[in-house]
Amino acid sequence: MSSHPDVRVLQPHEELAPDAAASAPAVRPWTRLRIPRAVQLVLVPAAIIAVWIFLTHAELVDEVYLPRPDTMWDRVVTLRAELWEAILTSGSMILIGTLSGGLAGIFVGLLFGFSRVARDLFEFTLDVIRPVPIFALIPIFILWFGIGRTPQIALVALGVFLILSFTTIEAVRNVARIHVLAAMTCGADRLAIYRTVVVPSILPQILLGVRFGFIAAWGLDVAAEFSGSVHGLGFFMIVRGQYLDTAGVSVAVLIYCSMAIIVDRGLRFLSRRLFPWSPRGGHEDLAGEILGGRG
Amino acid sequence: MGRVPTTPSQALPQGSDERQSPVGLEVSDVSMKFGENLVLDNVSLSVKPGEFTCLIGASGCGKSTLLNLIAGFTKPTSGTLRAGGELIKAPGPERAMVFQDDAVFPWYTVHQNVEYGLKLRGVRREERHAATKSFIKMVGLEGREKSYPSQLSGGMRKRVDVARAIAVAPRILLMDEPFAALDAITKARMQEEFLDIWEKRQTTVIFVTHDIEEALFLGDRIVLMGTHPGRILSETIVPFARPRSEKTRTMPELQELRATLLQQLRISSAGGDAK
Ligand SMILES: Nc1ncnc2c1ncn2[C@@H]1O[C@H](COP(=O)(O)OP(=O)(O)O)[C@@H](O)[C@H]1O
Ligand SMILES: [Mg+2]
Repeated sequence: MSSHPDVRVLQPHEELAPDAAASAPAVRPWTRLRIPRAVQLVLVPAAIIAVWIFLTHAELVDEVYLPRPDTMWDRVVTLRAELWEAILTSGSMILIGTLSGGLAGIFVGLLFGFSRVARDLFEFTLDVIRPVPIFALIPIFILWFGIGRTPQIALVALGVFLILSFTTIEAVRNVARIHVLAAMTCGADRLAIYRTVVVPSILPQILLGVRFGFIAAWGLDVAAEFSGSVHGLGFFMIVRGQYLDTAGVSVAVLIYCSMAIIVDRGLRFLSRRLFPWSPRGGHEDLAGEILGGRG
Repeated sequence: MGRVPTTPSQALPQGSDERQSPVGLEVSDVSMKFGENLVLDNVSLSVKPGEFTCLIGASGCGKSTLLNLIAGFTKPTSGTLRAGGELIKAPGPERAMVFQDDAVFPWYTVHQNVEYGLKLRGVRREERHAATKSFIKMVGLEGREKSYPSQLSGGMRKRVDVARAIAVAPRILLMDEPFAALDAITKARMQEEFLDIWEKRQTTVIFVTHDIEEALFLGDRIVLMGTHPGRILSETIVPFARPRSEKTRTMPELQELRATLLQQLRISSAGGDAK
């Protein structure tokens, strides 16, 4: 009996560690096939790039549709001053817009959580405004703020504001009742409940909201720069597009992508470091493991 | 290894004796309805200061509902509840609660959870740390102070919960099946350690359990509740001398009382089913 590999005598006062149970999914995954990390990170991207180089250099695809890598590199070198300027412009606008809109959204969300009066006054209005497609507001923003940076920042800020107010309000709503009650029987007053229960329990969701906010911000920034702007990466793309310079446009797209990915990865890393207690802090995703998805 | 019984109560924050002295509890003609569902029917219960009362009854008979009323989370449909002569209006630290469900704060470590009430009360740092450490030791979680609840087993989390409530030093301690999820050995140890603290503190305790043996080992009195609607069927004084020990568990009188209570419990739940 004791030779059975799964049988282990528990010492007094010992319980099975939860990790032991969690690390082995009870349900067998659909496939046991595991792609090695090296293949995921290097081989697959390298293969895609190889196909790209082959298609373009063999001139199987016209350069207007798919630019050659060396042409793109050429654009980076020749237009680097222009690009650098555009990156700084767009980057700073996204940063300012996301920070201001995000902080305002979080503030409103927290205010709604704390004050019933605020909720009663503004909840309905905010619920109505939220689904409005923000891109539809671009012409109005241009009329209000003129052409330039102001309507762009305002657009990004508004979009991020809506996302973060929504996230924060929902997070506050979902604070577990039992935690609030527990805090009360430990002697917490309203402010203490807010400080020690509501805020810490919603922070991971807020950070997740910030990630979504940034993702929206890149798109909003591009859209704003497409229509009524004379600077930034979006404007750069429009200009290169008019020259039928697909390579130039692609360089801008790649820059956008890289910036977005770096920011998102950074925030995800931050979330794991700041909220080790949270399942959202980025531990394994058991459901994903079993269903064959990724954690 | 080396599980020498500790006496956490010696490390308790001193000074605020006044707010920590136990008070009695008076539940008078309390009925509770959820919609049309009558969950508590005219429940009356009188608890003396410092008394250890165990509530037993089939699940669904309204034990948690009664505890929630005493805690002040909900208001009764009719009747009154008084603690220390004062009407219970809202929850507060004078009536701390160990919930049936998991109520540990996941964003705090074990240490931070246990010191929560002390911190809110403004107990000074060194004093707080000493007290917190002793409570953690009491529930057998030394070495896990820095763990987050998600890294603990269900039984370990429950023990954090118990330590957190005791650390609040309430006048009435409400416990809703606190040891139900624990393995037998941990459970026995927790019961003994808890009695040890309680005897030094003399807090009033209302302890919900469905384990008759546990009720007999811990309580001064056992209140048996019946189902459909929830009501009090009988009260039994537990005659065993204190301090109670391992020996108490094996006393023939305890086994006799156990048999009697089990019989009553059987009849009450059978009657409930027949209706
Ligand atoms: N908030 C509630 N709303 C509606 N019904 C409830 C609520 N809380 C408890 N009940 C009902 O009251 C009865 C008693 O529940 P509870 O007090 O939890 O029983 P116990 O703790 O003795 O197992 C159950 O039938 C349950 O469905
Ligand atoms: Mg219950």
